[in-house]
Amino acid sequence: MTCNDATEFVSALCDGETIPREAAEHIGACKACQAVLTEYLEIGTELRRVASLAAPEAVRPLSLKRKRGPMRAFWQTGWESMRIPRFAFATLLVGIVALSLSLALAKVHAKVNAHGEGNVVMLTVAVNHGRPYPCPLSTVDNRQAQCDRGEGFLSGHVSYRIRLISKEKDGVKLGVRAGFFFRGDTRGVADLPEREYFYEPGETLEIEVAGAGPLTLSGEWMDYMPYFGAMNLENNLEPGPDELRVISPVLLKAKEVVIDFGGSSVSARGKGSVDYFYVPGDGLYEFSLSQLPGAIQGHAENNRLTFTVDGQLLTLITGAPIARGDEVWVLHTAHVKPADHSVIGTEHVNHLVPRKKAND
Amino acid sequence: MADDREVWKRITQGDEQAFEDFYRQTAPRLQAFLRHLVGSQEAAEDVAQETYTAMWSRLNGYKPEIGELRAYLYGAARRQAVDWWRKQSRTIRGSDGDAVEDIAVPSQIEKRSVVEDAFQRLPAEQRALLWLREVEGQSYDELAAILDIPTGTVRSRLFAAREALRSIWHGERRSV
Repeated sequence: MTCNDATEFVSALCDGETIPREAAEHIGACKACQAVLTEYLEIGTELRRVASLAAPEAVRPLSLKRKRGPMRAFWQTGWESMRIPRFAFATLLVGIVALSLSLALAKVHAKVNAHGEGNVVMLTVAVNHGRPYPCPLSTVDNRQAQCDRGEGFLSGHVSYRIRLISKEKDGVKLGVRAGFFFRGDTRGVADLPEREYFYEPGETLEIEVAGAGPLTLSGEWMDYMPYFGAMNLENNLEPGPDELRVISPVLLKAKEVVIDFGGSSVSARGKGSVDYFYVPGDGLYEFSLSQLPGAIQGHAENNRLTFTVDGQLLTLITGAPIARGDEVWVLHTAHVKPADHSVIGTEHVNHLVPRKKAND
Repeated sequence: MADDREVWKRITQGDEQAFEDFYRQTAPRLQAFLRHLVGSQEAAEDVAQETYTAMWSRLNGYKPEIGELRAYLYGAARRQAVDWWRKQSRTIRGSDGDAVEDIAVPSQIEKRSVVEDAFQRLPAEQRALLWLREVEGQSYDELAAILDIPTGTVRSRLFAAREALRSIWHGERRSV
């Protein structure tokens, strides 16, 4: 028996399990396996020490009379104490949703094998070896040559901005701003210096972010920009049971386009969650599966939501089914806009984005 | 603690005080376990409350003949934690991705012991498994019930978790 064969039995031995005689004989004679056993035991000891510190002496009273309200989401908890600009945070949320929703679609798009033949670099970016998120960058359209994303941790968040500066031979020059921000830090990614990197699709580029581990970029050439306001096609087209998706919305009033948010998407989940967007010159539209005070009931059917405001029929057309049910509540507030300058986003009824009067 | 069957019998008879006693005896350790799954004390308290509330509202969920009440409690809590992460994932990213494994606290940020730092870097499933074994002392059979895996798989999963933790631990000790 070798050490490799025996190690699993070392683990079992730790647990007081019976192990084969051959394994026991090997471990008894092998210094390396005994060292592993010692380390396993040390790990157990340390975990129990940690546990003794972690167990609270008192627990909050148990309420059995009624179920608690919806649990506070991570971002809601952060929202209350957040001192970074809320616009930045709202943008970050929108970015996260848009980017994550596009991941599946990106996979099925055509890849271009020849070096430099595509006009889109389909990057995927992972923070500290975590889940990769897409970041497609166009070499021909400046409006689609940058991506922003944030990723929350307990102590703060990592934000990065990746900009395609120019197309080079067999690769691209990227401008990258990335940093870890502790909670309470009022800076944003725009306050960080931009560093330039040459990136050749097909390769992997690691950029160290102090306090958060590496930012790992990998990618390939593609022949066109993936459709970004898309939904999570990888799993299904169905919205979740408590989900309200507004994917790449277009708002029509009497068949005239009021606004087209092509490429922007938001997805509210959970009771009290609200999707909103602001239409300059018109006001704020909020959409929810819960009845908002003053809201009117709209009718959702697949990717189309119809509702009436001031006697006029409005139709919201999106790139994917909006909700599972047909009941969506719509609140239109004229001449008001989010105070944080966001134009589309997700909020919660208990943590509404502050409003201000719109003069446009 | 009194015998599981006796405790549960009182609870199923609607004895709220018995359930409160059960809560007070078990909640501190359960919250410590949950804190390592969901990442914060507040969230752990929320998930623990949800767990006990769900138990109270579905008193036919536990079958004493199948296993220990404590194993049932930790299994229920683990499932609540997974649901909690799914909700967070949906709220934050609007996707159906399982965020249990991809949201970890960077060890450089918070002051903790080297082993605890390494522990936090493990996937949630491995954290749960190691905690339940090393801290709670759950048997292989109980672990199988809690984690919904075959008993025969417990040994190999525990080994994998220990090796993963040891590997991270070694890396961190080198970097200190």
